[in-house]
Amino acid sequence: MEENNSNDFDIFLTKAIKEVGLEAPSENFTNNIMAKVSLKEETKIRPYEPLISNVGWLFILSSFALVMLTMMFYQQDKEDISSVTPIFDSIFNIKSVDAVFNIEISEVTSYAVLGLVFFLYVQVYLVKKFRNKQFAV
Amino acid sequence: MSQQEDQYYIRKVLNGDDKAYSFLVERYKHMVFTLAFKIVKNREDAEEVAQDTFVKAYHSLDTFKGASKFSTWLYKIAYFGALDVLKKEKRRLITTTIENDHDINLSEIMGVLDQFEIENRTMIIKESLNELSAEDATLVTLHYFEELSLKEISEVTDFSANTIKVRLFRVRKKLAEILEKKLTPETIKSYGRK
Repeated sequence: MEENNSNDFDIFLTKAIKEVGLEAPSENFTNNIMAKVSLKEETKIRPYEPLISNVGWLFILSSFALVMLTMMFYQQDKEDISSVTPIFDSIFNIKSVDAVFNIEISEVTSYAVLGLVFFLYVQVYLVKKFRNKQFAV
Repeated sequence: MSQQEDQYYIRKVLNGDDKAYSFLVERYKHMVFTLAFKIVKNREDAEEVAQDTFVKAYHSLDTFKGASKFSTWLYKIAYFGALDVLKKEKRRLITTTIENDHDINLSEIMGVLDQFEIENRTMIIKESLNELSAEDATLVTLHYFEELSLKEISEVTDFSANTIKVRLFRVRKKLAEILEKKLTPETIKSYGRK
């Protein structure tokens, strides 16, 4: 008897809740969604642009190579180049720079600075790779 | 038929016809909004949740494999989106408790409500539904209005089918209790008996 009543109540609730119906959202609901969707679609289409373009990298690398080569040939006139160290020496012992700033940099310091710059570049590369992975969709 | 139509529009959207998405929005906006409203209990938040649901669904449409109904998938996004709003606002899920153990005369409740004018009856039912907790109101809407199976409700809410069965049994009891309280002789008199 109780089970019958429970079933009847179930049927009654189905009918009554359907009578109540659904809540209605605002009139502009669909338009707002379509506007949001097309707005996001536009931003999604924008292609990825790296901070430094390929041309930029080419320019930086060629300038760096050019500076290194100039230093090598500049030094060649004066000293015999038998190892890499004169290259580093030449960077930090340019007479014109010395004349202006009168800075004396020891060999150890110059190697340390070079090492620091090298590791800074490695770090920038690794951090960039890590961030790219983090924001990858 | 409805499921096939959904698939038709989904394919159109995936093929680049954005406007086809508005058909899906039109079809499900009321249900998605109602689900959100039952949980967050105010229209502004419900509107935001419902809109976010459709925008999220649009951007994840290519991940929808069609293993379940599109509607079930959509309701799941809405359900968890609305619960997130409650969590963000640190609002607690209000739970209603069954206070008395006495036998409720279901026949009398149904008999009285059947005699009411349809407007009065819907008003009482609506008020009673509003007294339910967010999760109970969701279950009631999905089960009684949308007539989803236990398995489908389980897909939406992530509760097991057995849990849903037990909760629906309790919700029926709660509703009966709420209705019994509302249908005091004075209420019956004020709503006017035929």
